[in-house]
Amino acid sequence: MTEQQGLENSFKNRIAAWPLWARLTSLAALVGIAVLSSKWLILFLLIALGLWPIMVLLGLGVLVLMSKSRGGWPWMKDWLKARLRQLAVPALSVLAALVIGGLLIMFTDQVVYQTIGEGQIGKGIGMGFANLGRAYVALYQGALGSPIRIVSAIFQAIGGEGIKPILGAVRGPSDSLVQSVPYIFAGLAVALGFRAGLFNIGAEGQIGVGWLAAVIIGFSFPGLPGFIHLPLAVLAGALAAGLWGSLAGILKAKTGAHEVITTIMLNYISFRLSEWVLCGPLEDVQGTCRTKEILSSAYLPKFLEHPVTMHWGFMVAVAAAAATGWLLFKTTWGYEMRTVGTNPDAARYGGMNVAKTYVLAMLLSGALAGLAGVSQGLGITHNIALGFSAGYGFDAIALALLGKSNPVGVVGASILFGALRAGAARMQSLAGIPTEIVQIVQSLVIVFIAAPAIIRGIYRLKDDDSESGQTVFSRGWGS
Amino acid sequence: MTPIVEARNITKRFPGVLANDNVSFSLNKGEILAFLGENGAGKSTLMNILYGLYSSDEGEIEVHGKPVDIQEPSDAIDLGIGMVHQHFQLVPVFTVAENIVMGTEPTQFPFSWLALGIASGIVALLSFIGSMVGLGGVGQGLLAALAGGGIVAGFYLLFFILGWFSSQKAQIYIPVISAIGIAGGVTLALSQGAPGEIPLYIFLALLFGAVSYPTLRVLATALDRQAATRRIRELSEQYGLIVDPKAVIEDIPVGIQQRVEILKTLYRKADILILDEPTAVLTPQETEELFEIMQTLVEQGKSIFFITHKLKEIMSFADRVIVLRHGKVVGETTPATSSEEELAEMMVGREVSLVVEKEPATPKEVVLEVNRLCAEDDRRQAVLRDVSLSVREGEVLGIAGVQGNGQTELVEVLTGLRAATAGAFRILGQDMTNATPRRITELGVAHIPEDRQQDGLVLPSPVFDNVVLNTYYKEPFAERAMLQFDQIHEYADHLVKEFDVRPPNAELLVEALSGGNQQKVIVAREFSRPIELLIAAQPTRGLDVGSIEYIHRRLIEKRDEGCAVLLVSVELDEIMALSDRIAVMYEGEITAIVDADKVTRRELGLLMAGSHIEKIHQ
Repeated sequence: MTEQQGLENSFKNRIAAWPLWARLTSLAALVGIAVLSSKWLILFLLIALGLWPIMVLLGLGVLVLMSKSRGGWPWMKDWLKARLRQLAVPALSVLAALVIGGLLIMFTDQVVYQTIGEGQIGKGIGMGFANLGRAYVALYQGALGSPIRIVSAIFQAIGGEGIKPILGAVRGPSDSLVQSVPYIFAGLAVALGFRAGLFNIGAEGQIGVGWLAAVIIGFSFPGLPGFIHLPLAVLAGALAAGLWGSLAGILKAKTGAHEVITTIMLNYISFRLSEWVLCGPLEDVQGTCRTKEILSSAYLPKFLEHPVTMHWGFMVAVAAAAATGWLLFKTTWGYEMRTVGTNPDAARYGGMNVAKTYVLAMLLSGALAGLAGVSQGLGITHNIALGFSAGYGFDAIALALLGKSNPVGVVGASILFGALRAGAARMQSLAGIPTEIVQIVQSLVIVFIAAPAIIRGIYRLKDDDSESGQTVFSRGWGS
Repeated sequence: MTPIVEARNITKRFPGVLANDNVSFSLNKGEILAFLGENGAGKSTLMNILYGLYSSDEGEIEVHGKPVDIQEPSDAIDLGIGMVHQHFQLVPVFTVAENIVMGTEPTQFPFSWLALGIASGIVALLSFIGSMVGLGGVGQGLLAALAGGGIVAGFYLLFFILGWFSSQKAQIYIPVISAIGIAGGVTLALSQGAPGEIPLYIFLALLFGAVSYPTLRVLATALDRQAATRRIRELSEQYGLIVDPKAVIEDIPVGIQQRVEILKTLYRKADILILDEPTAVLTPQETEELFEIMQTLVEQGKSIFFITHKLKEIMSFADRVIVLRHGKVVGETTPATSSEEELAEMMVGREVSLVVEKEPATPKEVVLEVNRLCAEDDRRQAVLRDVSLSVREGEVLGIAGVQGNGQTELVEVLTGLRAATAGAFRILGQDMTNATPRRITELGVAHIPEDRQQDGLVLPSPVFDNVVLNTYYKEPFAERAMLQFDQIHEYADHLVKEFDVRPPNAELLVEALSGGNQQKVIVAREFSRPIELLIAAQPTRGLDVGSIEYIHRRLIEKRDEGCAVLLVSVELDEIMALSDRIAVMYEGEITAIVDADKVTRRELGLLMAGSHIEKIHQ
């Protein structure tokens, strides 16, 4: 561990010794290279996701190589143990939820009932298992694609057929990542709130506000070049949602109104307001309750051609996660938020402005939630229509919990939920299983995560004390 | 005479810690046995084992000469052992009586089955009238139901006689008994009724069962509660524990709440009491009253285990003392045959000086000047009335007073945490009335808060986060809003070593430290930046002798460096030992400011109780 830190530090120090202009240019160069080769990077990412077992093996190989210089097998064992322990409860929760969801798939089918009712119990159960198999194969392919297809597509590409077959094969991973984008933003929003001791239930409303603002800017300025128009629309969405969210912060700071109440009420206000706006002043065609299409200069660009729908929103989301982590754990603002979140009295004692911190945290939380709407509006729908609310803001509470209010955890949880959502669509179209099954699985995952004692009981895991995320969570109610 | 409790070779291991190592002790009837030890010496663990909250890894316990196996608190209660925890286990919104009865209701009294019998009688009468006036079917149905009810009542009676109705078991038995009774009633109905009317009988039997159980419970609980109130009155008179059974817990002071806890154990027929640091939350007056109560209890045949780390308390009333250190018994003695110094040495393991050595003060410029300051408490009642005082550099001004006479609020106003309603105060010549806490801190004011866990620390955060709680935004800990963790870690490691925080690891969460070490983290933070004025509120509350000695020495060091010190404490000894001048606060006013070497303990006590200085001198 110390050796590793030593290595990292010497690397850091060497870079820190560079003059500022050198650091900035090299950073710009790195970003430039990444942007220019983004298409290939993303293609590689998607293939890697589709062929994740190979990637895991590769990772293990790298680990073995690394362990050579650090104490061999014992070091590697400890490293793996530490990671596995962190992942054990979430992973087993997903497994348990899938098992229960599987039982539902097997035994909610009319035909299976009929067969069992006619006395052919064995045949009925067999049919149940067949259903289950078809459903989960479809779920997997919808979420991560078919590995065989990906491999054969790669060989086709090598054989000179271009990347077209690969694009078709990696549609699953791409859909999963696309679905995870709003989850990441909204999950970060709620997680940031939790850290500051605020329970932001208003993410759903903030998503709507951000979406609307971004779309309005998106169709309002014809002739604006993309590199101005797009950032302008993104910022407008984030700012509008942030201001909307900060209302709850101001109310809490000035009057002590609990943010749970105010954000719920602000949700209703934003739903009804957007209904009026969408079916009234901003309606494009009479009776559709939908705005105009945004101009192409405000589109979040896609990386690749159809059917891969990955757009730049994913990159922005990952960057937002990094920025949130940096803000929370590396800056004085984050220190203030975390202190206010765990002990507001001590924060006051330490000279922090608790009211200001609440407002700031709600502003940032709202802005992050707004970006979820922005990514949908500029990246996927290119407009905003009635019924935009898809529950991302409410699922986000679960994501923040699942990720223990940690940006990395939130991204991981969001990708999981995105994958389940992408897979559910496929499962419905291929196996005729309603998407509600996946919602049940999602809910069960949350139940098991929120009550780790169940999972520990079922799988006889040892207890650990690293439940820091939950103390933060419960503060939201206690304050 | 056999001892009433005898424990041999108790050993308890927690991961990484040996909490109790081969501890043996015995308690005689009518004796107050004190356990003395520093924070974390294993006193509470030992008593929790005796009360069944932990189980020991090795060792055996005998109560009344018989070996016992105490698995959970209910076992201990059955053996007549009661425990008053350091943190009270009371429901704030319930009344005293409800809190005392809780867990023992509702079937400890015969009223439950008595009421059931009466109800059965009424139903029998009704069914008799029913069959007389010709309602054959209904009459028979009621009879069937009654049979069920009667069987229920019979079982209640049987179980009561057998004494199976202890609190928890009744919760399981009652529904089971009811079900048996109803089934029996239905069977009887079937054996004699016309088959066509069986559904009616079953319905009626079920109805009876469903209605009678909650009704009887409500009735029985009401009756039980009356009896309980009466019994509480009796107990409180018998032992001099004066409380109002109808008062709501959140409205009564801490001292009275503690009496409720003691009553709770007596109500459960305890004759062995465990008091876990009972004086930690009490004012000196309340402590005196507690001692009287304990004396009464012992005179009436109860025996008491008493946990403390305050030497004075032991000297004044314990019969015997067992000293624990690092989980081991290091000595057993009686107050009559040893001195405070000896006990302190035994407890800490080295020589401890109980007297704070200090040179006479050399006061210079005025640092803090308070002029007719007024403030209100959270309920908008005036708590500070025209407070005026001044503290000069190089002196300690102690503020003595019974808890709750405005000291807390004075400190809050002076540190910017509470608004002043009138008056003003100046620090280093600058008007700081209603300035923000940060401005006051930046002026060079250190504050050791009264409630260290509530105000002074972020418990779930590591030590290194806590040592920069009020300097995190300044260089070198932050540069352009970016925290400099290298500097923070280095600083924290340095402080942890310098202030002897144990274990010496700045990565640990503060909540994992003992109370004394938590306080050291605060002291380290406040003393390690340039300060002109130190405001210390109850700096040693709840700490053991070793930590108290350490913090006192540090305070005097700061004074000698030329810092002005405002010390607030309810411990008269602490005030007298450290102060150069003493201000007495009574009901929000400064009633006297005297030189520390010209006043006696008795005079101060009278002043704190509201007397005026002229009267005392007459």
